[in-house]
Amino acid sequence: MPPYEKINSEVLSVSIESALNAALKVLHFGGSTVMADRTFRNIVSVDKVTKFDIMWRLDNLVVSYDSDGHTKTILKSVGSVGTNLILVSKVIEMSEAVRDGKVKVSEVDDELLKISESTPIHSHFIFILVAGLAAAFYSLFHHGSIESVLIVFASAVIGQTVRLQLQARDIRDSHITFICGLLSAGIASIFLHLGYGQVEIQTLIASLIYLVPGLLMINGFVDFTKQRYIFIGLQRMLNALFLFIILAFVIVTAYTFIKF
Amino acid sequence: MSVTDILMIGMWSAFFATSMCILNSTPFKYIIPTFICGFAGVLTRDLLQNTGLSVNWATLAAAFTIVIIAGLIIRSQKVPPIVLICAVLPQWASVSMFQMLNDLRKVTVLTGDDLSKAAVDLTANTAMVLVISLVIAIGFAMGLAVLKLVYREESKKEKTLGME
Repeated sequence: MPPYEKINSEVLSVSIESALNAALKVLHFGGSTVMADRTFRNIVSVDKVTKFDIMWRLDNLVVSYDSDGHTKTILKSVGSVGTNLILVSKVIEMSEAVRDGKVKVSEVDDELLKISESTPIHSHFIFILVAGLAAAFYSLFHHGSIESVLIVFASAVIGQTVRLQLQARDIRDSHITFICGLLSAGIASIFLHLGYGQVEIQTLIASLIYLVPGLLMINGFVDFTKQRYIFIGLQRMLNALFLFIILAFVIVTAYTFIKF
Repeated sequence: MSVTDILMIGMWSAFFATSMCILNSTPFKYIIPTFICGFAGVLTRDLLQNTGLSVNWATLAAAFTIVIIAGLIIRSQKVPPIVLICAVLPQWASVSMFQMLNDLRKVTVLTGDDLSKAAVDLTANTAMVLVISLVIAIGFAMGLAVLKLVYREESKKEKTLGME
């Protein structure tokens, strides 16, 4: 007899639901599928739930398990995927606390709510400043002149400010990338067109380097290397490629404007 | 390239890597390792290139160095991917990637000699993106294999707990 059949169906349902919610949070905050899976297994391990099937996808998560002789399936939408690796590590730590018996399974949803509502580690000002600095440093190590550095810093700062406003309005990532990319590269190209800075593709790339979907690509690669997550890995990589194509289109448009 | 130039580029790269790390809301404990790894990576690549090694071999060695240093700082074989990727970002062929996409547009609109030149550029940039990405992946794989060997006790412990 498989171990799950010995578990009370209500306990089983709470355990699976809570674990699924925690795994969803990991994906929602930009964690890899390996991390989400580990979080899920940490929580269900408390009630010794070992027999279940999960289908990992970037749009929905599907879990099926047997309860009282019937197969139950839960489907939950992942929703928008953001980036907050600190919250990812908090969710994982919480799941480890559940596994070690420090937190009850029934308290998982409350803990997740607390984590979601915790104050962001960096203020908007820091995120804006760091986006500008990333652009400036990228330009510097590509031998950018001081003028170029100042141009890309200003472009990235303005672009990131708009990006944070758009993200707060829950607008799709591809739209944000296009709008902010066009804004940052547009500002940079106006200055370059007027004769300031170095007219090089590096200057334009630097102005929107903060939009490069690095984390999406990393998670895609990490998932892709594991056979179990190959599908979600592909989804992430295609998503990243799509954003890259948007950025390339923006750069080409800005470059054409400079040369006009 | 003089040693001063290499050190300066290494420092800018490290600051860039750290900025990208902060932009991704990475936990504080990984920010300094990212800075150190970013610096060490570019330093390794440029110093090896200065001795006459090709950019591909130098990048492979740099990727390997990044993993080893990250593993030694974090004292685990489980180096967070975000540290590795942010540290290696300055070495990735980002310019070639965007130029490749631009060349793709060019080959559809140009004719004659311009088309030939654009086609050659497209091939060169595509090869650059693919080869650099590949050597980074190989460098990472080699580094992770060495870390697994160095921290084999950790691997054994995890296997016992059924975490692998």
